[in-house]
Amino acid sequence: MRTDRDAEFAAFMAADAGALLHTAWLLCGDAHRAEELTQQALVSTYLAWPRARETDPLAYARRTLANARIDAWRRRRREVLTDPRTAPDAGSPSHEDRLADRDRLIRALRLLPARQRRIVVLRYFVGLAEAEVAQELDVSLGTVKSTASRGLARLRVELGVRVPAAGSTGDASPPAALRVRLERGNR
Amino acid sequence: MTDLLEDRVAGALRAHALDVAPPLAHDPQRVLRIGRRRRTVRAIGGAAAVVVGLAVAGVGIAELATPRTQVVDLAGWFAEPAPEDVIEVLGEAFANPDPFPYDDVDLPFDESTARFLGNTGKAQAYVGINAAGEICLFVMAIDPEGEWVTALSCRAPSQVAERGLGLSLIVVGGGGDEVRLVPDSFGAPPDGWLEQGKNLWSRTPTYEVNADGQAYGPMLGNSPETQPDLILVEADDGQEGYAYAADLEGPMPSSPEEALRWQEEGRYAQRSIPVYLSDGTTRIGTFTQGR
Repeated sequence: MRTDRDAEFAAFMAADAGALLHTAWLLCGDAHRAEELTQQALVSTYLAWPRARETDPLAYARRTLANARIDAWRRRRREVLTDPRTAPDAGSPSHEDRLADRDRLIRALRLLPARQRRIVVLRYFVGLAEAEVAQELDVSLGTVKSTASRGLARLRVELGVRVPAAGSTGDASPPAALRVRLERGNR
Repeated sequence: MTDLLEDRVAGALRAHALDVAPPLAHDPQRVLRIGRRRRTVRAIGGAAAVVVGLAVAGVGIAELATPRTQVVDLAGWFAEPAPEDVIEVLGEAFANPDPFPYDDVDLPFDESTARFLGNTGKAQAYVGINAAGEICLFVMAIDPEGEWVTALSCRAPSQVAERGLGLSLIVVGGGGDEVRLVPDSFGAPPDGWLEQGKNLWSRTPTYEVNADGQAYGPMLGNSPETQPDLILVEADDGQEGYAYAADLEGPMPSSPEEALRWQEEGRYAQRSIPVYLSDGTTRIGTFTQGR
């Protein structure tokens, strides 16, 4: 029944589209393009819904998202990058500073090669286990381990990430993207 | 990096990314609408080929009909242009949020690449880029049963840039159009073809002629100069017949003031027009315009 399929898919979108949008933004670095990519991934997932719902529809959509982005990279010859010289240092949490932080993050991600960026985004920003990343991107577990570790180290240098002290309350509650995964896992 | 340290760095990064992320949104209804349309096209794809007598003429027939014109390297059309280059020359994208007006027809390519080329009288023509990176000409028309029929032809961008892209959409029992997507460099259409819009030509239909020398058939072109004397219509009782073009057009007001007065008097509301056989004299029914 079309209505059943649509209702199921609408529920899936309501639960997971936010996480997909966030992942798409980290992968491509542009809000409008991220929305476009997410829509494409969702449409593909809708078309494959009988198969996708049997396994993990979010994983299916995420995989489509990464593939769509690869296609776009091949097709688009011009990428719009922010001039690093215009980005101020991060400081107080004003709107301008927040925008600058955003630019720094995107620029740092763009410094990573495409495959490394996908592995880093899925492993650390989405919060997938190494084995899940290997499965989603169809690469070996060893590749994920080594690539992710190097990518994270580079990001840390580029962004000057301060590591919270163990036991500090700053990271006590998991961020939203991680919460999405936890909630899905608890169903 | 130890696992513990790695986890803490990752945690900090995740929190940072969420903190600085821009507002992002999507339209669930739009996703569902596009998804349904694509499913429909998949489902009817095979059946449409049976309903529609589709003759994909491709570039070969189009070339026979058109004398070769020297191709100018316009906007990178020559020498392996990217699909985006070709599409860029063809016009503006659909304006969001209503990119394609028909919920019951799916475009065979991503809507973000699609352009409306124009109407050819019987059909509507669109162009876009498919998943393989080819330029596609998509033509759609309504058959006598009131159902959409479609035709699609795709070629590599370099071929389209050099020679254009052509196809014919023949609707069973309802006439048809031969349509060409042409580069800017082709200039004016040759004899037998009409320029129906930017980069869009269609072939001037050849009509049958009755004993009195009157042309009859479906109205295929946009221009009054190309329409037959007797135009194919469906009478009120469902029979197919022909109405005189002059009757269909009706009397014309001589000024905007008169047009406004006619409208207020209800003269545009409904008009009954005689329907004939192709001989133009044997009346078989009535076609009520404005029903």
